Amino acid sequence: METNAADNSLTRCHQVLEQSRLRTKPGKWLLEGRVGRSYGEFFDRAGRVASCARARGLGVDDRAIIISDDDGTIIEIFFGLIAAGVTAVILNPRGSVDETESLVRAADASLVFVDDGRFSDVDFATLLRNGSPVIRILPPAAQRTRLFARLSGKPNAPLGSSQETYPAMLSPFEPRLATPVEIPDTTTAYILFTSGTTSQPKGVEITHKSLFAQMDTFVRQYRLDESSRILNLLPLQHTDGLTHGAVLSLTCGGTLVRPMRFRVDRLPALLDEIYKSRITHFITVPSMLVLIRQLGRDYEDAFDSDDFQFIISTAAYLDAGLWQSLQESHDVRIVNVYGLTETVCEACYCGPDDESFRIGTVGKPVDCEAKVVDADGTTLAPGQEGELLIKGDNVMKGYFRMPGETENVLRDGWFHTGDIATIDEQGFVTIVGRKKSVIISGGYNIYPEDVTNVLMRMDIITDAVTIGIPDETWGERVVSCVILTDRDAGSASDISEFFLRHAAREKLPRDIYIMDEFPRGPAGKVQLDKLRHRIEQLRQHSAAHRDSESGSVSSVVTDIASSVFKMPVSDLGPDASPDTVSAWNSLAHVEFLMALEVEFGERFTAREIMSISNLGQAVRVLRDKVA
Amino acid sequence: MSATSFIWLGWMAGATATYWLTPAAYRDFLLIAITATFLTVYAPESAIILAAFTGLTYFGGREQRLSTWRLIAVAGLILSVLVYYKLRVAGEQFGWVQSVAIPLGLSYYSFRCLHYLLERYKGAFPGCDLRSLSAYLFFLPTIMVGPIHRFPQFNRDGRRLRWDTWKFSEGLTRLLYGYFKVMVLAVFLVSEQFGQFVGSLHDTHLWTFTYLHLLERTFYGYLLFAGYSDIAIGFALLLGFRVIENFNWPFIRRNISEFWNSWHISLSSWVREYIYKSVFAATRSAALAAVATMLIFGLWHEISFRYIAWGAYHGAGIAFWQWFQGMKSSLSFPKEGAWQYLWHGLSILITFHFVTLSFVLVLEPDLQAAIAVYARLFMVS
Repeated sequence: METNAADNSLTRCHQVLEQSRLRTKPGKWLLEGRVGRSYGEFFDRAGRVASCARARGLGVDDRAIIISDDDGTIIEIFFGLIAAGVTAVILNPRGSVDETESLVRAADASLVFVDDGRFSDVDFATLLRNGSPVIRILPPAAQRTRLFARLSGKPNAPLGSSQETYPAMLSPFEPRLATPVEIPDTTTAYILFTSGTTSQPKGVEITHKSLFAQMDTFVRQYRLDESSRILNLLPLQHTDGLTHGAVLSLTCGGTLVRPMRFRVDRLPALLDEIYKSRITHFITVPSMLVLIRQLGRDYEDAFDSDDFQFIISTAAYLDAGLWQSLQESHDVRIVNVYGLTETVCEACYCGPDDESFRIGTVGKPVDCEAKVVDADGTTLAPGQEGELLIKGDNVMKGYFRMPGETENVLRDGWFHTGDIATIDEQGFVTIVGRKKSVIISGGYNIYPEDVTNVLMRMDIITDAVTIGIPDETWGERVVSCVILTDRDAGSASDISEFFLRHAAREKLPRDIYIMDEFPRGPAGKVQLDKLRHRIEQLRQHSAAHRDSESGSVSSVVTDIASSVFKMPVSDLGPDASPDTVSAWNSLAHVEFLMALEVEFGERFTAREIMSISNLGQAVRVLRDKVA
Repeated sequence: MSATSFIWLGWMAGATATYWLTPAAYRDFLLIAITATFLTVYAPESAIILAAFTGLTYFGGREQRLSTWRLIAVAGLILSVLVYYKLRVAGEQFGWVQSVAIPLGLSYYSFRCLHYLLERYKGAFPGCDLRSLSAYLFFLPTIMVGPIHRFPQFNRDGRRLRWDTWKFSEGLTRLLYGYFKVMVLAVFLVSEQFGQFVGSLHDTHLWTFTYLHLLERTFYGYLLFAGYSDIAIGFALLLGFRVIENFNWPFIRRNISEFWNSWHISLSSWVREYIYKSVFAATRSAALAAVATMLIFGLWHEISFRYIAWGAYHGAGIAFWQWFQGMKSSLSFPKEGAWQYLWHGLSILITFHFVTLSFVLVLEPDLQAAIAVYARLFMVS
């Protein structure tokens, strides 16, 4: 019997698939540059994956792993699997071999989909349940020859015949949701691993009920519909890319826009995409907002588009100063949200409505409850600091096969976030610290123990400690201190090289300090406060010379500009230019340059004179000359 | 071809319609093809030169960090071609807005090429691909009478390109303004009506005639050029691009520096950016830089004595203003109350007449005729 959209017995993921099949409004669910994927194609592929999974005897309590670099393929397979009741496990396609082996083993899966040619060193068959099959995913270009498919009159028919390659394996199956499958909403829809390299990876289990409860909240809170166009470049093996992007756009019937893989030098092009692609919601991390601010006034119109509604900042602490200044300079609302992989994605929302919006907070819980408790578990009065607890449909089922760990954080339905917070009388939640040792860098959660464990596997390292220190751009940076068998046994770059062979790049410590010893307490435990202080001293020492030079250059340039252009120093930032300073005419420009030459005893070349068109450039040119 | 002709209107309408009917991925190719066809039909020589300049600019500016010698070689070649054509027509008489006697658009697109190369030399942006550069240089709206729009803004507009009804509507409005300025204000009101009145004074009030005739020609030239610029800017907006403005109320400026920030802005900002700064770098003299800049500004229009005189006149004017800026602090003017309005009005009046008087040099056929007009105006004859 074929199901239909009106059937109330449909599971929510079936509804999403049906909605895609019945969609009449033209549009793509995914736009990657100039290539788009249609809803029809999504239904076709995901429907076939579901039929195929069931034909292979997979269902509730089975798991299948997806390791791919192709976002569209990941989501087709993801939906196909969960529609068949199978639990999807998405792993990092750029993870190290060690990590991947450890996670595949932990997932105890019955099937793996992996990009053709990726992890060819890993013997998946030995890591899967009963030597289950490995499906190789062909690159998107090879998946279909459009012209040939059109000529043959089967535009949606996958090519190929092998049963072990995707999408060829789908050929025998119909893209129908034949035979309704009983999937209780307590079935685990997916597992995301939040820490990777340890011997006991922690996999967060999210049920169908939790996933779609979260989707309902998102759709309502962000006012999403079929016309929504969501820009989200976050990776799909993280909940902020998976649920806050792809699953969300399919649920609301909108379009997910992922025009490029992010690189810092592509930021201007990415911001231009917001206007061009009529983006309505931009979901990103605070580090990206720091970079946007650094682009300066040329891109202040980035969100000046009738379609654009707001930015959603997720995954890390959003500095109130950055938040306020970017909102003012770019005339845009930034909705700050808070949650964890364990709460599907989010729990508290600061905005977009005025009633729940207060800069510096994470707003109020939506469709869940929040409370703050002390160490004894007693609920605290408004304004008092304690651990933040969340309760609601969005809370995870538990950590996969880790009852002890689950017990530690999930009691009476309350999830213990590990974050220290306050809740005021109006219900605004403010995060003030963290109980857990997780480092949040550029939106990635990195567990220091994972980093240390990888470092300790290097022969020359006898001891290692990893901590996070504040960073203006990335929120926090991962810093490792190591003690070597011999002071000259290796360098920081040797250690980095080793690290990258065994763990994902985002976990790589940005700074590695080789030390002779660590500060320790009476019991021999490393004193992290003292270690942090020592790192700070080392950083200050190495940066002192550079900072003193650049700081003084900057202040002298600003003083001179202030006197030549007759403007207060406070109004002269690095972006100050003839366009923003009315007295900066061509005569004042030469006076300014000549005053700089006299002050610094330097002579500008023609190229330098031509390149100075704002204060920041003057500082840069002089800094290079002085250096 | 005139920017207000029916033929040009046809090209604008045809280009705009086909542009938006073409899939986004191919629009820049289409516009390049339309511009190339337009030039091939009306100015084949210019089509060949523009294609050659595009290749030269692309390959010349491809170096990671453009060396001074490479810049000199490539820019020198482009300038040589420009100077060659300018010299070929030296001595011929032109009206206010010309460039038809030299390959169509050469003065504008050669300066666009130089701008691209100089910005690459400065390291202002990484090089682009041939497609983006061709789209910039073969941009139909600005091909005939400018403005000399800039690559970074154009490239960004290209990246942000989408259909915007409000932008299209703004484009149509600008087109309307442009036609109104040219047809109604410049041609009908100033040239015909006001011109007729001024002409009637010739025999009875010679001084008034001379003065008003100068004003008539000044406003005619301004409205004509501003109208053409509006048409180009409007056409660009129809295609989704916003190009640099060329005029910003130039006749209500308080000094010559302000005037040059509001008159033929796309060229004045070009020479300020590249000539003024270069000459200053070489001489460390703001006055010399100003004179050199205005000489180049004049020669860009035409290689002739009258434009050299015109450039020198403005260069000297700016140098004097620079000197006066230094002097001003030692002079004590009453600045309170009504005084500030008086100074303001007087400044505008002086600047306006300084500029207007300079046009005598370029509107008269030669220096002697210009001197005769000056003599009449200052009643020394």
